[in-house]
Amino acid sequence: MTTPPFIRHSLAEWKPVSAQVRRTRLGIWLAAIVVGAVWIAGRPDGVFLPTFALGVALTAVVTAASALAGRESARAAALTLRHPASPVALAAGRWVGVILIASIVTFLASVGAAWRIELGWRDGAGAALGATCVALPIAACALAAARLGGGVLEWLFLAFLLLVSTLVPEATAYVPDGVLREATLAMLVTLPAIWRYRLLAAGDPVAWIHALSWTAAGILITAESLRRRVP
Amino acid sequence: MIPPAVSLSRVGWVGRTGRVLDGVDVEVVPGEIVAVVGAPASGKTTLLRVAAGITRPHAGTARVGSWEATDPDARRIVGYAPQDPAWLAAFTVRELLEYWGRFHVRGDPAAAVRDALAVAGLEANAADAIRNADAGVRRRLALAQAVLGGRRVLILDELLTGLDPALAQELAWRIESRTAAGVAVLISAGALEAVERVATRVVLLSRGRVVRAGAPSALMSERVLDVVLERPPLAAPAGFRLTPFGLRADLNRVTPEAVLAACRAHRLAVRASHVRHKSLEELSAG
Repeated sequence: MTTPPFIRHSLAEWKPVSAQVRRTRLGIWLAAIVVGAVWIAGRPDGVFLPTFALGVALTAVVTAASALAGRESARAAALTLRHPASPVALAAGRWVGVILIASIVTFLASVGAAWRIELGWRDGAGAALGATCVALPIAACALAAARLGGGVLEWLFLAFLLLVSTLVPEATAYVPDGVLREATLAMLVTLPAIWRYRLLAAGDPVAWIHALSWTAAGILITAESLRRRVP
Repeated sequence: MIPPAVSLSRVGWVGRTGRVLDGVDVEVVPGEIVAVVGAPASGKTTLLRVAAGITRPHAGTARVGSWEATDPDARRIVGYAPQDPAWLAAFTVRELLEYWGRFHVRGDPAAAVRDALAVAGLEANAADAIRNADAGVRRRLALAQAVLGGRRVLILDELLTGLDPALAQELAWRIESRTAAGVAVLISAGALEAVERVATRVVLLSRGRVVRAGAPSALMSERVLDVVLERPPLAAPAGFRLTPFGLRADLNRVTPEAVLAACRAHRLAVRASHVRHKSLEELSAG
């Protein structure tokens, strides 16, 4: 039985992903995230493991997406499109690569943190799994943001996720009435948001539909961006 | 009659600055190497991008085999080496070819990669990191990625330009060896000398139009005589063109001796003279 071309082409993307992790600064950055996170977990007041794992996962996603969707790799991917590959397969492959990287980093950091705060490794692994679920749509959107607006847009996206999107929509009642409140509410409801994706691990169907929609949108936007860059 | 592997008919393309290609006709049959030669901004790269299906022509048709050049199926038989390829610096030469091989070969691409390395003469450099590769290795790699997967049509943008003569000669020989297997090659160059040994036919492009076409030997045999005079005349005698240092004569129908005799007949004191090949501009002007 032969592998369908879409799967084969997506899996091929693991090769550039692993080469960049092993031979560029990306590997050093990811190692620094793990070491830094475990060090932070050792503070006297400790950390709340699910929130901690989420922060690590999102930072790893944005760091990996920035490297894998950067200018050089985008140009290389564009050249790849001269070979019989679909841009959607390449974008999907990169998304899988980002998720894999983020999940490994989150697992190592969470298990390390669990050990520092004297919890079992299973607690760390559980927190990492929940954070990886949240990372699914975030990774697709981070790749798209990196392609459309470079590192600046991507880090703005991370700031929105960590600082704004943790608020539930009801919290906008505290925002002064007017355009700002409406805009904040619209962003919290429509854009990828932590308050909603926290429900993924509990199997909330609306959260899963929202997450899968943004995953598909992120991959398609990245694919279209790659297609436009064919040399 | 052998059907063409690449067929560009009345191709037109308009860019931001104006018309880049204007009614260009080029055909390449299997086993043939056609060189598109022209000065910078003559439209060579655009023509090759149209042939490779990267750019859709604004007028005319571009076909590869039985497909439109932009048809995704055409990618299976067309290998394209861009002038300025982008490669992930984190790869080694072999890893890069294995990566591309996955798009061409079902299962393990090792055999296809081995063939591509051999065609480009890269076996000894397979483990080299791309970030450390010199210009020669990069040019070979461009050829290797273009031939990877047994392509039937190679489109090579300036692959032989700017190389040292030994490497240019070797790559030319490697390209030529592909045509023995029936591969059609369309290659661009900024100078006739770069492709004169490898091309079976040359198409001269000037401002987006084909101005001359023919065997490279025929174009290379066209010569002019530059005559340096003691005192250049105010107007050129018949059969001559005025230059800053004297006169220039076309040697298509006359010998250098006849030209010098004509100078003497016009009482022009000749200081020096020399015969040379026509430049691209002179060939374009006819």
